[in-house]
Amino acid sequence: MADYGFLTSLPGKDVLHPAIGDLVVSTKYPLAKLDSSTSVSFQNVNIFFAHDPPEPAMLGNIQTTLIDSFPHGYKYKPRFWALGTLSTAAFNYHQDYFIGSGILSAHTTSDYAQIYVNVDSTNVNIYVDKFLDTFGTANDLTATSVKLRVYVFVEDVGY
Amino acid sequence: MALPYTNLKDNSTPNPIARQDVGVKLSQPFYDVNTTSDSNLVFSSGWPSLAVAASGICDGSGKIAHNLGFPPFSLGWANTPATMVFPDMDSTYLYSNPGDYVVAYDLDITKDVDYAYTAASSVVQPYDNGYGIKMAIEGKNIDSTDLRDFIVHSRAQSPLVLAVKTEISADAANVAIAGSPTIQYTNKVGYQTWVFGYVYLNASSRYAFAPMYSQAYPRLFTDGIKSYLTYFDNKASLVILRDPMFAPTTRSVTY
Repeated sequence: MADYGFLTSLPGKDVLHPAIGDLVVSTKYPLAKLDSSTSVSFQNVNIFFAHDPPEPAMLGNIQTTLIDSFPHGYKYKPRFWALGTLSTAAFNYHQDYFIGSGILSAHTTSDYAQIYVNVDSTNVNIYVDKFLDTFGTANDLTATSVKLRVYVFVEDVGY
Repeated sequence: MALPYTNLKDNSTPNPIARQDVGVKLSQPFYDVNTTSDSNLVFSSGWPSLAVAASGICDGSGKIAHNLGFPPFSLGWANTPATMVFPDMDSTYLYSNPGDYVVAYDLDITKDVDYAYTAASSVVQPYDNGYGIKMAIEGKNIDSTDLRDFIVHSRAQSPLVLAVKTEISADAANVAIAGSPTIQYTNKVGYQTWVFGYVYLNASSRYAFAPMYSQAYPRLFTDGIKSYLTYFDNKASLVILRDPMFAPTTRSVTY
């Protein structure tokens, strides 16, 4: 760490020689930054499936459907977090809460519908993957609601 | 989600760390910095922010050194497509797939901590570039318009730490209920927070991420409010993070 920045120690603690836990704040490391001046850095994305994304055309394959895509405003791939919650009347398996990706519906290991988020150098993208093989049952997402909480950080993913 | 266990006991919660009366804080225009609530602050050093302590791309063996001396809370992103990944960690390395980009935050998952909750602003505040606080990274220009060039910039905030719960504060009665040691946390903030679980594995001497969708050990059970994690090798950790102190925007999508 360079000889600049600021440290604040707890009352009664030596700021020049702080022990671990004695600091209120330290600029030793940069903060993980969400730009509060943009509309995309902290966003709730509410998705309603009025229609069902398609199943794979050939059994045993995965069908990928782009559900939403929006510009993040950077010229590189930014770091991001995505948290999702699900509202569905379906009785088959589903994740009511997930981070990164989540199963929206599944009957057995032979079928699933999964939602996930990724970024490229211009956009944040939300996809649904569906898998179905001979022994599976199609997963109908009609009338399903998903709420995603998405953070898009200033920092890049390094490639 | 129906939680299998409904009568587990939460980990103990010592007096939460309150907002400190020392440090640096900056209020929104026209708000008294001495008395206003945190939701009207532009910046406060008292917020339990997340700092990036190390980062990089995992090598061909799927690891990268962070050398922090403790297992840090970590996240990562795969390469093409850039989806989220969840590394394992020990006191020296992060472990993920070769080529994944991973970040170690300055948060020790072996240390119990609780922070007092202060509500964020519920209104999207317009940004005033007329004043604030900023500190550039060594070698970077203080007048840079790239926020990556700053250690601290009051235009930006991080997610905040709400709690870290480990086996140290676990309730002993959970063993009788769950059959195994189990840590549990229930957040009181009124919304679903970010919850990450880790269990220590003696076989590999590292903390392994516990996914939520798993038919094998380890597995984290959470609905974002109540979370619990059963562990077998003596140590485990729940990391609970909350939203930053500014309001989100909303986007509605109909497919």
